[in-house]
Amino acid sequence: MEEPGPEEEKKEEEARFDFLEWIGQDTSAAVFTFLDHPADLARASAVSRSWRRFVLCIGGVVKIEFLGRVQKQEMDDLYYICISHVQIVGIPLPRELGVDPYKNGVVLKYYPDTRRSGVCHGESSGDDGRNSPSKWRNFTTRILHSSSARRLGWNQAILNRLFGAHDASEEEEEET
Amino acid sequence: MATGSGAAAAAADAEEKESGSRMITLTSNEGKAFVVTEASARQSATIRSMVDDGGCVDKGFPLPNVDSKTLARVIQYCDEHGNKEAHTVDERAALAKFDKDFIAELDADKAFLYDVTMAANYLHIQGLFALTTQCIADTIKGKTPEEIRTAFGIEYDLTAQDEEEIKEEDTHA
Repeated sequence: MEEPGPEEEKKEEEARFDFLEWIGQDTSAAVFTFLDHPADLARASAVSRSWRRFVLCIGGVVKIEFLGRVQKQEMDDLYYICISHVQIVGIPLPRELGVDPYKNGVVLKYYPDTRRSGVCHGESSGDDGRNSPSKWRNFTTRILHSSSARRLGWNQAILNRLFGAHDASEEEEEET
Repeated sequence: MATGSGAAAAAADAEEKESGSRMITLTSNEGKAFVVTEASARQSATIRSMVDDGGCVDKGFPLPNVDSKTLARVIQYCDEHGNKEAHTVDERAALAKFDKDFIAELDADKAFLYDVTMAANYLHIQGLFALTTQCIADTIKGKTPEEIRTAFGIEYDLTAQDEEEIKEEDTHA
């Protein structure tokens, strides 16, 4: 890491076109939904740190921040706010993409041929809606039953909450 | 039946003509005023709802998030799509050709492309927003991460750990 000299700074100015930062996350999400080939998503996730964070989201918890919207009710000194619309944009991982535990997190795996079986290939976007739930289920099953996910210390209770308890095995209950 | 729908269509036409003849002023954040037809302005759902809410059509609409250069380009799109008919095959082909040229020009200037995308998002111009976001997506398609970085001028800021992860990702079957 060198200190940026004057020349370097100029370059940086030219380079400030990372549209993720420029157009914001919701618009970027609109861009990424056009990438219907999983290989594009896999490659996009290796572009930069911001792209890695953005492209791949596995599980997790949604946090909603009310920036600049703090409002207290005088009567009881409590905060009230009404959310009329929350949107989380994304597409379930296509079949060719898998997730494997790695070190402290997970990595995105791309299997171009092994599990294609004619599903989801750009042209077949029409049946996406029908296939999505099963794909999602497939993914959750993979992650829930992969023993390495447990080695990683993924909390079963959190996984259950994220994916819905019906996908998890019943006997896990007493562990919590 | 036929006369009924014909009359309805005529009424709709008349309404469209009436609204199309009104002029609306849009003001950029630099204070520059652009006078456009209502039909053109209605391409923007944001302005459309303000107009329909019985808004201040006479006073015009200040657009604090859009600069003059961007607004001029956005209006170019709205004029084409709002003022021209798209009923016949030829007319639709002409519009498609316009879109193609329009986006090709923007594609050459990424910074401007982002500005127009932001404006399209802010003004809720569905067609334009789809056009620009698709264009950005097309730039990503089929490229290696390195090529994507070059195309968008993105700084390489991956850490050694990221690199290791990516290497791990690449070692597929």
